[in-house]
Amino acid sequence: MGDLAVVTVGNRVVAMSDPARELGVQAGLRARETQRRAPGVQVLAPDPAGEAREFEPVLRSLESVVARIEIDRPGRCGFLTRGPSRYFGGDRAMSDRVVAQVRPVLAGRTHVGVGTADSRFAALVAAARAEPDQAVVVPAGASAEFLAPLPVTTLAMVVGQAGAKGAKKSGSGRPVSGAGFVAQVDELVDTLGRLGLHTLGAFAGLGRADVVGRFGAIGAQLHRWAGGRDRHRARLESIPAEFDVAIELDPPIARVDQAAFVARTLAQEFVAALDAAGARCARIEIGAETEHGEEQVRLWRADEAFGVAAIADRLRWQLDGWLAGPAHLRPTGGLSRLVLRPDDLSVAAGRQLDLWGAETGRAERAARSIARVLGLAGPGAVKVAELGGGRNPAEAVIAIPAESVELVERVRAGDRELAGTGRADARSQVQAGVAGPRPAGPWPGALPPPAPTRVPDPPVPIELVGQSGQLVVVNGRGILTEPPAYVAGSSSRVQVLAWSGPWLLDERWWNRDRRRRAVRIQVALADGRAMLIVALAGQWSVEAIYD
Amino acid sequence: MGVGARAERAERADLRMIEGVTTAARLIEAEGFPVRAGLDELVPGRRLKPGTTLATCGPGATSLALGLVAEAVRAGSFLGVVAPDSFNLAACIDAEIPLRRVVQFVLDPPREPGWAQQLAAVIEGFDLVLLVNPGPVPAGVARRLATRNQERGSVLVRVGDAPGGVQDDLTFTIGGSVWHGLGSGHGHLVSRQVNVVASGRRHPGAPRRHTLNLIGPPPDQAAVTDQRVGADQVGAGRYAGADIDRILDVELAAPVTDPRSRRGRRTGAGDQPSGA
Repeated sequence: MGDLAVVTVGNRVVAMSDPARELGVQAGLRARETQRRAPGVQVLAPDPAGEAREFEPVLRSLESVVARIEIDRPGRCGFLTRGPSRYFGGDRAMSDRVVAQVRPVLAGRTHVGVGTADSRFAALVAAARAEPDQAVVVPAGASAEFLAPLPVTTLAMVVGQAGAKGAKKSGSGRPVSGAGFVAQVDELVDTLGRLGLHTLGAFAGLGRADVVGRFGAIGAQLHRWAGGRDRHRARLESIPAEFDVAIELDPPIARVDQAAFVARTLAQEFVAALDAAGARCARIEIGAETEHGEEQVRLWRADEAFGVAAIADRLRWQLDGWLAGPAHLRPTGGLSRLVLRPDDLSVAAGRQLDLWGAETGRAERAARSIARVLGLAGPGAVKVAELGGGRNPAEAVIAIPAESVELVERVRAGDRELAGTGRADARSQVQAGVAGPRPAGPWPGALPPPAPTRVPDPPVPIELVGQSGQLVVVNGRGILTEPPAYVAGSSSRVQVLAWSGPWLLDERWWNRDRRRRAVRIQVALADGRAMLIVALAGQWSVEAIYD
Repeated sequence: MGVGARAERAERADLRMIEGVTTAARLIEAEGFPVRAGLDELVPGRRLKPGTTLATCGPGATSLALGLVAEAVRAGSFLGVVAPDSFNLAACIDAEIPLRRVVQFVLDPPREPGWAQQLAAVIEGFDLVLLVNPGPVPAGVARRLATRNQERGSVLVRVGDAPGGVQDDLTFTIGGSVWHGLGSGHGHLVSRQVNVVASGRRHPGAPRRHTLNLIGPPPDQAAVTDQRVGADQVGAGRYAGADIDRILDVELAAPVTDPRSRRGRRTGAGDQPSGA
């Protein structure tokens, strides 16, 4: 790009051409200062539709290398790297590959920056700070270190740029949908500056309890960003198809403005359905199909829940990129079908007042107490349950550290869920995070309910004795040498009254290092308790206790 | 957000001013937390009074404690479980407790000076607090916590036989426990019946004995019912198998020296680095 030009949002520079960059123009600069540094500069308003058209070939090219690309806004996208990195031989090789893939598409008109990190925010910052056509790889575990010396304004910059996506919608340059969020971040960054916390490291160094107490939910979120702790999770649960919204277009639509009109109605329908179920969605899959069967599916994400306008915007941008993009990527026919599909559901934590008022109070109090205990007992002391999947008792529900989840949000969410009041349909289960009475999933060999109450880790070694006084052993065919009669500790033993098994378990036989062959039996003991006893490499141990 | 919350609170205050309107919090104050049908006969007044300290001990103590608080969690209260790492949160699902309102706290052992403060912080925020196998609690600390609990109006349930401390308002001792569904070499654990003796300061009259269905369907519905286990061999109070108990308790109430060493042991699965 040979022109001297910048793009501004709300009087601040968000993007600049190469010549402007050489003259010292940076993101975040005021328009007047920009003009001083680069006289005669062209000041442009953002044009997301145009950006989407330019971005489409990039996405197409990238899609041939990685899967499930999430688009933030036209011009910025991300993806989970564990798989691709392993395939290409490490983060560095993968990042370089992505640069090499994208650069020819841009053909020198602009540059690509790639950032890889184990935190989403760190990856965004790394990408923004990368030299033109270079990749920055933050090693695993080093996100906090990487972010620490950067100014706190980085928070506002990343969010503000993300916020610029809908800038066309309002005069002030703030997107209508994200205005609250962006404004809150701006305000918080401003306050931090006045408190004398100038770097992300200083902010991350504050106690979590203090941050939550002073700045609330948004403070907790940004605190996690600043500390490089906003992990990306692979989605484990499946989302019911009932939230999908689709429309058949007959006659097919060939023009973007017609599609935009349909997009709005579709988005309204989508949001209304989610609202009715009390859910929200921050990642949405938009699919379009033509009369000739060509299909384009894109995944969009936002920092907060999608509203009608935000969805309609993204649908329009996506179609703009396809229908009005480069000729060789255009579809051959008109659009015949549009689908909106949520890719991520959480409970809407709206500010709706509860009928009796007490509910929200409880949630907030619980959240404050959690933050306080975290402050007193240190990280790792507070855990919340997340449904997992697996054959072992420890895997069905995983206790994850509270600091790695959206805490206040989650507690509020739990608060809003109306359990046990006849709302046991699929939707409320999605909201509750409990799909069915217990985790669903194909886990043949998993333990039937009830779940044990304690799962010692590691299992406690124990001896299993038969009636003859010999130790009970499992032979190569998975048969016990004799029925167990006693479970013995070091000095005493308890009679086994009933037992079941042996149940064989051969897990991960394809992986030599992680393979696990075990034999399990359930026993009911004379003292009234029941246990799950497992034999691993000839040693019996107590894997779980039913108390 | 500050303004919104303030308006909300004001609005709520207005609601309370209206005569005849009772907030949920006040309803609980007046009547106590609901208890699930079947277990409610254990509790005087069929509801858990705010500010009380309960204790459950014997085989099945954990399940009984979860059962006692389940209905209250479903009605909107939050449950804090102070337990070692080995506590299995999946057990909440069997008690039909919504997991979203359950938070597990892995605290220092009670003899550490920080413990009381940490537990007080938990009591502060949670209507229902389960204290699973805490080990011996110094009497002074226990008394202070009971008072704190009374002021706050939470229900504190101590699980497992921890000796000493103050007398609890209600003590549930499981004398016998019968498992159904397990045969000799076949079947699997399905349901469990227990004999519970309720006693304590708040319990009117002599200790009463109840037979309850604690886990699973009532025994006549259980698929395999071969053997009735345990009832006769077990006396009230401490039960047999003390040695195994000790082995396990060493682990279960393990003196936790460094909380950092336990951090996120089972958490790696879902994390993925992200790129942009």
